[in-house]
Amino acid sequence: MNATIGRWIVFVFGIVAVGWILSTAIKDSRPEGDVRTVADYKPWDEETLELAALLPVQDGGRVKPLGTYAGFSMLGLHGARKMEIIGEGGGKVTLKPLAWMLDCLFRPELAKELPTFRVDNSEVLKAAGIEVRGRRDRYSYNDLAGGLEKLKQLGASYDQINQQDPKLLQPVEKQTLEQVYAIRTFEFLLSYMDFARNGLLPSSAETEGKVLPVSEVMQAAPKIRQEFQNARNGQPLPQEVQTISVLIEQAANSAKFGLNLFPPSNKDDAEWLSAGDRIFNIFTGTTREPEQSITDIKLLEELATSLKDGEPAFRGKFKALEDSVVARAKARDEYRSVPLEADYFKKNWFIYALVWFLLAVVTSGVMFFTGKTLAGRISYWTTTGFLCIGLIYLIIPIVKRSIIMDRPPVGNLYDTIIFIDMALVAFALLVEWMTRKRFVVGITPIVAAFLIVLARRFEVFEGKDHLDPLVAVLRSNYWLSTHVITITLGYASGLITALLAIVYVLLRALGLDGGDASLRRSITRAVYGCVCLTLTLSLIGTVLGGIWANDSWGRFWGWDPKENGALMIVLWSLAILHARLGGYIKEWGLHLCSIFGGIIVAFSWWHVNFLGVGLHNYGFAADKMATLWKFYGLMLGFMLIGAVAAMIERSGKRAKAAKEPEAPGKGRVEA
Amino acid sequence: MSSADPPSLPARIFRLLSGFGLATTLLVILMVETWLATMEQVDAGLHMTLQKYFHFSNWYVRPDAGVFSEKLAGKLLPPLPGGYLVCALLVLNLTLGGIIRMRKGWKTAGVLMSHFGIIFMIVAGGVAQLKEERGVMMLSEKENDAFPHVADYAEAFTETVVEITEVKDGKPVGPVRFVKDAYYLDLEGEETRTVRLPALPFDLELQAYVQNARPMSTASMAPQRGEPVVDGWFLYSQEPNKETEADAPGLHARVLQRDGKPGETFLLAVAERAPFTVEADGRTFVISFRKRVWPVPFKVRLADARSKNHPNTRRPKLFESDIVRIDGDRESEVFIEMNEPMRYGGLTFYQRTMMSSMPGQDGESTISGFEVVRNPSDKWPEYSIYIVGFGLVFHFLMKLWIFLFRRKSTPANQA
Repeated sequence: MNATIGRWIVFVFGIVAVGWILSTAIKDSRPEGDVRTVADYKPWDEETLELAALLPVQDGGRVKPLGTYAGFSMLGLHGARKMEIIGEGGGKVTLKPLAWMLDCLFRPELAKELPTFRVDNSEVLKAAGIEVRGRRDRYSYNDLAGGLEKLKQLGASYDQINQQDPKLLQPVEKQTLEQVYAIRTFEFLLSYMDFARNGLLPSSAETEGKVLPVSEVMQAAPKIRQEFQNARNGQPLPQEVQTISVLIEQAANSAKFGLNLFPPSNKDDAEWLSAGDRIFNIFTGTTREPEQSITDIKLLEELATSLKDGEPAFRGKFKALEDSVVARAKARDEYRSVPLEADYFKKNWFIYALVWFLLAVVTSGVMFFTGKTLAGRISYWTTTGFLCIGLIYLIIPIVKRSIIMDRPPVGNLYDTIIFIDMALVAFALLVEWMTRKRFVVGITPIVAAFLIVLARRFEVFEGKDHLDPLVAVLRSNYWLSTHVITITLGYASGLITALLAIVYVLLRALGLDGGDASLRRSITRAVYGCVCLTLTLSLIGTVLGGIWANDSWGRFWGWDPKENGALMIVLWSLAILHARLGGYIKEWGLHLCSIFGGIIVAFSWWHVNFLGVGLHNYGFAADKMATLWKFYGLMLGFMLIGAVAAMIERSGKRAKAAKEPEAPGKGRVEA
Repeated sequence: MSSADPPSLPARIFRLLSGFGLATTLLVILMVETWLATMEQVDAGLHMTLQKYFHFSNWYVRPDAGVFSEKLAGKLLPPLPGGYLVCALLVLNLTLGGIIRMRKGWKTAGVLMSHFGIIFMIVAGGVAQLKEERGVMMLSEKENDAFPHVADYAEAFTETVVEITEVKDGKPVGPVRFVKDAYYLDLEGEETRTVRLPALPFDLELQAYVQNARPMSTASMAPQRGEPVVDGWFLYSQEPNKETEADAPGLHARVLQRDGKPGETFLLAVAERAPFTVEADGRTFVISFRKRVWPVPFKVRLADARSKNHPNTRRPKLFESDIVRIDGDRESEVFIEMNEPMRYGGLTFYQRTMMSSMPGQDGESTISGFEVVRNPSDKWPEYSIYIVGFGLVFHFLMKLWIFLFRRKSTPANQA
């Protein structure tokens, strides 16, 4: 094929890939539907948000900043970490998670107006008689208010089916259930500070409009408990005590779920307490720190009521609460990573890495067309530079995550995406350093950018904190840092192998290499080396996993789908190497097999998680498989291109050989 | 014989068995089988799939995996050689080609080492499949609970046995006799098998093994598949579980007295612990059906079981047990947790499960279950990986060195 046409084909292919990455990244970060107007909305001061970000809370089994809690709560409900609305005075306001969280807690009436809920299937709302807009849109709590009861009824019936067998649920029923869970989470947040804002209003005080602060009633807890004790001994329970106990129970229930704000003073008690726990425990007599409980509730009451005096007053009370909680968290040695984590999420490292990789895509495009001219050399070095900077922007957050989690960097599927991205770029730069043929620099930025977008989409899809603590069986830093890291590096190596093979296929099939044998040989040697590396890493990683499994579960090999996937990579790499040594595959064969290796890596890395069995089952919905099938299709497409090109080349050579008699002593050359 | 002569038949067989062609073919078949077994276990369950693909008795496999669509399950896939056979051939190929035939020298030292390590690893797997024994020992912190406080036996996960014990005055007398599951696993429908018991005054006729049986009264449900009814009861055949260890098998049996008088058919079921009583020759015997129990050469007492979740979650943080190992007169305190098994006397104890005899709370577990494994090749894979890892790293570092510093500038043949 004419090299110029080939060049344009690759260029168009690159533009489509970059276009998809960019549009996905932009689409993920922009709101869907019309921008909502919340006429009374006044943004929080930046100072308030910065202060609130560092309040430690316990969630998901670990202590984290309120900013992280807010970020993942918003992601889970809203499907993004920011929200755009038209606020007071018609100005556009971008709400970040903390602002949204403060609204939920302290300005619930405004929060009900915010387009918090992402609804991916409007059928869910239609079934509850709610007026819908597009198929996918965002809705406020007030938008849903008319059909909330119906929606909850549906959710309750689907929940019963779910508990029997989740597979019996239709997709729309599953989505309804998820929507009801999301609404419940939001309602917990809205009602959390009700007790602090409204206090208790017993009927005896109703006429005077006298509100009793919960903290005051808590001081009377011993007397109330005594009244209940007397009632058990046959004495009548005063009406007022009955009323107060009911109101207290309501107040405690409304603040029981969600935010676990208060560290217990006893270091042996691992569980932090919510405001509701504090209230309950003092009335049931199950707390060892009644004074501190009352102080904590008083702090929340002062905080909630201070907002009417303006944000500076609110900040003062927030600081008092935060100082108190931080001091106790420090005493328990649980505050260490909170500031680091707040900083980690604030910096958006992966977005910057994405920007650097996209810049590298642009300069690699220039390099592609300018060849070995001065402009070509400059764009080559610029691309390499951008890749290196992008790599640094991947390494820093991975290291930070490791420090925050106090464990090696790979412990869940999200971790593997960013780690593989980092390893892939590092391997690519290594190959480039060894070969100096530019081919790998040209294609790596697109793949690196794609993996960051994949990580972001995965995070949105899961909507949960991936800095979570590990389950019992994974709690071994030795095995995590040996087996898991090695296996993950094996995936990265397998992917870079497939990538190099794709480069080879495109260069040769589209005539971009101009028949340069040394270039072809370099790529082939690089691919061969990468197959060896994949084999070494996957084999060692797999067997280390077996040894770990033997220590944990008493069997070296359990035929878990994830283990099988890793074994398949090992077996395929071995098959490639033996077939090459035996002469059964030559250059084309090596590259086509290596592309197929990419499919096996994808099967092992992702597909096994969809199967619904084994220890690494993530319970993904079947509709998420579509992306994976597209990847398989793409890889098979490259293999097909290569196979067709190889056959055309071979038939061309045969035709040529038939025309020209073979020169004496000249051997046949096979592809 | 001149060099132009064709190689002899043994030489050709040797070449075939030691060649790259066979190695490549076996590796690809093994990979395809691993993939198919992975897909098939989704519907068929792990135990059944492994038995089908990798048990030594299966020379070939008919895959049933619905690899592209569930509708295609059992269609379009050709039969393949059994996984055990493929592994055995691979060991042979590796030995002949990867060690005996391979050129010996420092350049091939790493590969030779790796081949040896892999042979060792596959052999370890084979030994484990033939010799490994595994079961579960459930212990309670308390006396007189649902499980024993001290035990010196483990219960197999899937194997069952028919136990025949003579009793006198309500107490067992003499040795307990067992009929292994190999005698009845294949019995279907009307097919019967007589088990001769020369030391006893009767023989047993076994019939219709049911993998997952539930004794049902005909009052509550009529037999659906012509199951034999005994005293108003029959063994209802349930769908086998994907986890075979969760199945409760059942069996039909009949006593054949020495005088040739056949007895009544009776039902045996793991789910029903009550034994069947036989009177013969003036003696009393009880026949029961249960998961096979095998002895452990020392006693184990559970001192404390602890489980803990991560705070404010249901995510398990730790499972750990303090046990006392009693070997003769010697008592030793041992700590077992996930990733920290106890290895002693040729057996390994793994923390498997934990529960509470009371409605449980975090950290309040009172019952601990240990997986007990006897595997002579337990540590072989670990040793083999050191060999393989060292060999591969050595070889590829050497290759990398050559690639980086000794590469020649002569162009290759244009492919």
